Amino acid sequence: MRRPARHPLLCIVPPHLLAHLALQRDPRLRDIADRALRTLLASEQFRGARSAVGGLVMRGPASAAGKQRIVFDAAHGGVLPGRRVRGEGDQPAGDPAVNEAFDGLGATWDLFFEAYARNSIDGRGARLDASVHYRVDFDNAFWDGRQMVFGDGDGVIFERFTKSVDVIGHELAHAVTQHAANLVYEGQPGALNEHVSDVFGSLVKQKALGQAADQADWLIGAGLFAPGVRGRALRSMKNPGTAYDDRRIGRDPQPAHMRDYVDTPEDNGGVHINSGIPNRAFCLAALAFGGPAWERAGRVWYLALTEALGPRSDFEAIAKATSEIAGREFGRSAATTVADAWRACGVAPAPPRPRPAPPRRKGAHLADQRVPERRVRRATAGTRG
Amino acid sequence: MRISVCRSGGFAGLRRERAVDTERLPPPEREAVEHLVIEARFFDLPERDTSGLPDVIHYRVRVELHGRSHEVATDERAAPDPLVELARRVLADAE
Repeated sequence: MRRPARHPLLCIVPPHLLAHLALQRDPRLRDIADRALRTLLASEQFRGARSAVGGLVMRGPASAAGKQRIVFDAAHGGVLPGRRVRGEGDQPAGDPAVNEAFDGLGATWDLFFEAYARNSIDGRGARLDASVHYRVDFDNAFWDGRQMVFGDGDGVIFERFTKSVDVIGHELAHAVTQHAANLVYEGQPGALNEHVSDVFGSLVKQKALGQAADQADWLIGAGLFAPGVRGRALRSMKNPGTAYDDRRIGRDPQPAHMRDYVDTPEDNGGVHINSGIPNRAFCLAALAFGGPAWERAGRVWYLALTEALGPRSDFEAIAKATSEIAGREFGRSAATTVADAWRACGVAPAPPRPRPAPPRRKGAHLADQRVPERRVRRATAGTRG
Repeated sequence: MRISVCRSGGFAGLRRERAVDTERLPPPEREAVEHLVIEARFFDLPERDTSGLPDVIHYRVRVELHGRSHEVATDERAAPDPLVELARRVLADAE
């Protein structure tokens, strides 16, 4: 199927733009769209982009139309998926939870396709299914391996979980991880699984709002707390440990640095706690790059997830992978930017070298380079102090 | 019967813990809770049974009865429905 037909213009167009062009429905752009699709397929350079359009071709021209979404209503029961209430091309429903889920699925699909040329969660155009109104007063949202599930919240601590678009992005990113690095959901790989979901959840929101890195709130789950709860959100990627402090739910337990890593048997080894450390590293890298976070930092992390990481990857492995990929994609200074971000959080991008390396970084970072060796793991669980 | 429940994980990652002596509960609530322990066949459940799925809520449940005790670590997708209901019920008054 591969043809050498490359339009001279399209050769230098980045894959995410090619992907965007390939999906144009305007008949006047059909020729360009076809060429964009062929260029993507012909390109040996962008493995991810090629797998992204593979699904489009297999499904024929009709599915080149793009995203396929269905929202179901579990009607407060525990049986999934429930009754189909809105599909692609349907009018908006009268139920805000249905429409929020539908739009959130779309915003997530858009981020992965437009920024990283990935066609849906599996890279092959998989349909995105979500169920709303799961059980009664259900304080959670999760990916069950096949679809997304949203509760309505109890109305006392939590509002409905579709209110925050980054929650939807977070859950679908778990599906992407499942099809890519497949990080085990335990300990450091589990915290990275959570981290990657927070990254792409936040990027879905930032891209939907058209925000640059320095304009974003870097919060996860803003708007989920019911009135009266003292907290801005569930997590802060910029300042982990500061998202909430409330009499009923306690204080945000996330560490921002490796020296505060929480060792606990609960929550699969604190996967929702220790994700604060890589979250901050990503945020620092994105702020240092400047501009829209999904373009540079997001691209680096996406490539690490899909090309470099595996089920047992730990913090040092992602630090090393993202530093190397940043260098490959954006040059040596980008590698330094990413490595510095990890060091600021106490994570060394690579194992210590056998011989003493001459100090290349600024003085401020020298102290942090030794941190992984004196890493202290807390024996206490759950909360700080 | 003494029942201890610790909840962790979930998208929110919130931790909540509570223990009750069923003898001190109002009779209808006591009956409902103790019935759930029986319905879940709690003392026959494995000590650890988890789904491995992301963002599901984890429960650690311990029941002590007549000097006998059993503890189960599970999550809302792996546990039998009566156990999830039991955990939710015990925690419901924790706020």
